[in-house]
Amino acid sequence: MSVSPLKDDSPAEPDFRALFEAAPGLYLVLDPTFRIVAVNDAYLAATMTRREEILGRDLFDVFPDNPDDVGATGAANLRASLQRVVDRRAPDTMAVQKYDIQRPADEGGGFEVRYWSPVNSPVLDERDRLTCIIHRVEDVTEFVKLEELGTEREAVANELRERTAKMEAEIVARSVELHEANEQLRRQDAITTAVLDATLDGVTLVDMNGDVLLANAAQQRLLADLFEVPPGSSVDEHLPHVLERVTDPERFLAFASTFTNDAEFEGSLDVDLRSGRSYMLYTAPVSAEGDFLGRVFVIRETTAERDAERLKDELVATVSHELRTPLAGIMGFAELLTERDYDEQTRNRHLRTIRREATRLTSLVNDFLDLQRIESGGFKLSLEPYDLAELVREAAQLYSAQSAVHELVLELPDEPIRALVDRDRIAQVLGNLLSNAIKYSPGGGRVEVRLEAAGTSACIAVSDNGFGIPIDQQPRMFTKFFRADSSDTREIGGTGLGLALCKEIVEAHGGHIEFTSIEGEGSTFWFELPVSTRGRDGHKRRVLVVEDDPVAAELLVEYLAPADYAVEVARSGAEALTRAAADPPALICLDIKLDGELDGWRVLVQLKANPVTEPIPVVICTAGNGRGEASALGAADFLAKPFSAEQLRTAVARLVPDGRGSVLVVDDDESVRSLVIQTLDGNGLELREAADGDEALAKIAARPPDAIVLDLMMPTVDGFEVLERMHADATTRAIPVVVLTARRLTSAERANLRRRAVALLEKNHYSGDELRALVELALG
Amino acid sequence: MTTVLVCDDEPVLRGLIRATLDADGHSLVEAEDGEQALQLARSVRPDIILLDLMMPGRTGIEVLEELRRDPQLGTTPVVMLTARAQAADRDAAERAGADGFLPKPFSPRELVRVVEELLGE
Repeated sequence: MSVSPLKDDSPAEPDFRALFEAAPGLYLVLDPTFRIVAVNDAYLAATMTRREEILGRDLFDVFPDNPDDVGATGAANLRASLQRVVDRRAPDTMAVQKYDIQRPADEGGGFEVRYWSPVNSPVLDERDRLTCIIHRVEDVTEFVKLEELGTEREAVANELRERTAKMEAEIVARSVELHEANEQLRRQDAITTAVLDATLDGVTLVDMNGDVLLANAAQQRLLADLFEVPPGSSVDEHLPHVLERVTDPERFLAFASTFTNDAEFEGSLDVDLRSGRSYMLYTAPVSAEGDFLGRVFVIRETTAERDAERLKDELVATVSHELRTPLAGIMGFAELLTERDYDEQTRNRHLRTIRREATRLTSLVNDFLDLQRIESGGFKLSLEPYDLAELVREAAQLYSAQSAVHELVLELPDEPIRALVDRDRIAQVLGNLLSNAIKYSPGGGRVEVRLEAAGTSACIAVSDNGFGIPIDQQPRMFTKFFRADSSDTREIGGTGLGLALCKEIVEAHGGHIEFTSIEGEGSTFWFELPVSTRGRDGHKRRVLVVEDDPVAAELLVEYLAPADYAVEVARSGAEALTRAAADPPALICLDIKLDGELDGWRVLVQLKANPVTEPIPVVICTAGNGRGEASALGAADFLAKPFSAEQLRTAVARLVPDGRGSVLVVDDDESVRSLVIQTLDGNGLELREAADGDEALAKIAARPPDAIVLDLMMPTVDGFEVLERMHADATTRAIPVVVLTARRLTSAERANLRRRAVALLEKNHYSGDELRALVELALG
Repeated sequence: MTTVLVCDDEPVLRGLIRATLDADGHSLVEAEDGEQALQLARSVRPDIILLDLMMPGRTGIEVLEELRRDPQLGTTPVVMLTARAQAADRDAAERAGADGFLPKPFSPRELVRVVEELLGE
């Protein structure tokens, strides 16, 4: 650089070097080979260098990269920028650079972190040649540091925020978990309570202080029931109630002191109450997870078991007595005969006694076994239609020769009376009644058998004019082993089982047996049996289909049959009018286009003109039009072909008066079905039947009955499943069901049935009246 | 000649006892039930009473208890006849003061032995 001489008259030219060196910015001047040619003071201060040390030296010698900063790019970036200035002869602004500065050795040496914002500008001569490069930088270290600090803070803040959010999420998750766990506990608790409450035994948990921790519903019920303990009273308050009512309070107290004094005690006590009831008290200590909780007490009422046990004992004693008496006679007289010498007359008398007692023993065993079989349900009636008059004649014939002093009189109707009976069993009943009539009128006289039919039942009565039955003994006449006892009858043998047997047999037929008797005048025993009054189709609603096309007629029949209508077909209008007038059906389905002189419209007009057929609802079934005409002429409904089975059945069901209701009888045993139908017949009920579960479900779907009599044990689809499926369907759920079963049910089955069925009847133990009453109840 | 009172509701058993004891020189009196037995016992003062346990109306035990309360019949030997073989019945009969016990079916020989033993023959 050349400096021109200053003129005296011109203002003094500033000292550019001094200016440059004092300039506030940071400047470095380089030659095109990047050697330092000038540097100002600020630059020296910022880079901790001294002018004399750096002038004339290579820039990169003076400012090497920080060897500790492996990723340092400051030197390379600066070189590239300077090179660009050389190449382009234009200023080059660099991005902020990290370019660490060497600390002087006397200040500790090493490098200081620095950030710079450099601009490199070319200085060109008049010929555009690059003479030097001005390297101007700004120390932005503090700024960057501040920024970094900000970033760092922000990062910390972000992290904090994230952590907070995470914690919050965790808290939410934990509380959801906690809630679920609580919910599960609550549900578990509800299940435990429900199970305990569904238990028939009373269960209580009492802690060491005598406080009740838990008591199920049965416990409270039993306490109230057995001891009249007011609900909610404490254990201490129970005790006087209990002691007042047990037959042996001392034994109870002894038991109580055992479990009070012995924490480990587990045991039970059978307790009899003054009321005649009995229960069992069981107690055991209860611990959970090693903690002693208290004592559990279980109360179970055992009255029924006790009574059953007592009855069994009595029966055993009675049977034993009854069997030993003839046996004693047989064995005693046999011994006398073998050990003593008798004249022939006495010997024969003793032998006759032995024979008589042996016969008595035989019939006793037979009757007893018979009765046992009936009572245990292992006895099946083989029902067949039979003329009761014929049966009475046969039975009477057997007994007419038995007594010379009796006159056997039969009063029978002229017509046969058909009933579905087990012939041998009814003959057995008649035989027992006849034999009693003869036995208990040893003086002779009239024994009369009268058969009468009234409506749906037949009555057979056997009368004698013998001893009659003392009024105080009458209530026990059908009790096993009971024998009417008076001074007159004492010599009359018998097992005491005959009438009990008669009652079982008659009731198994759906009938009932009764008697009237006046002591000293005679007795009349009579039983009623259900009888058939009509053919099976007589139970169904009749529908007359008027259709000349056999295929169309067949279709209607098929549509209506599953709904248990008895469908008849008339092929012409004339036939339809005749049949409808002769025996009016419940409903007429009338086609309009008919062969012959009368079309459907004319038939309709004539039906409505005849007072006999006028009330019969008519459904017009036609492929043509005419809804308006149909209604004007008095048709009850109009169905345009093609229509579905469902549409037809709905229309018919709406119009056919239901009478007192329809009952579907479901049983795979034909004879049981017949018996039930006979029993229910004649009460204005429409009786339908199904032979298995599938058929039942189809019929229920085709036309829901008002009540169902249902057998449980059926092949394939059984009664339980029918109930299940009915329950699943909203339209059938409410249909009341009377369950008829020969099977002994488990208590679970019974409970299940009780929820769904109106009533349970055991086949061998119901009377016709009972079944009728239950069905009436079911029908509302 | 001793008098034996027999009380049983079963004619066949009364017949058997009569056939057994008649020939041995005893005089027999028969009662069909407890009430009748008590009446006959008071009037005929039997030497021994054979009493069925299980009878309609008053049971054998009830009759026995009443006999024992009667000052004139309190010491009359009583043999209980019963089809019941249970120990409980036997105990009840013994408590009520029965002197002998014959379970049905019994052997006529055994009946003779018990009766003669109690009569001190």
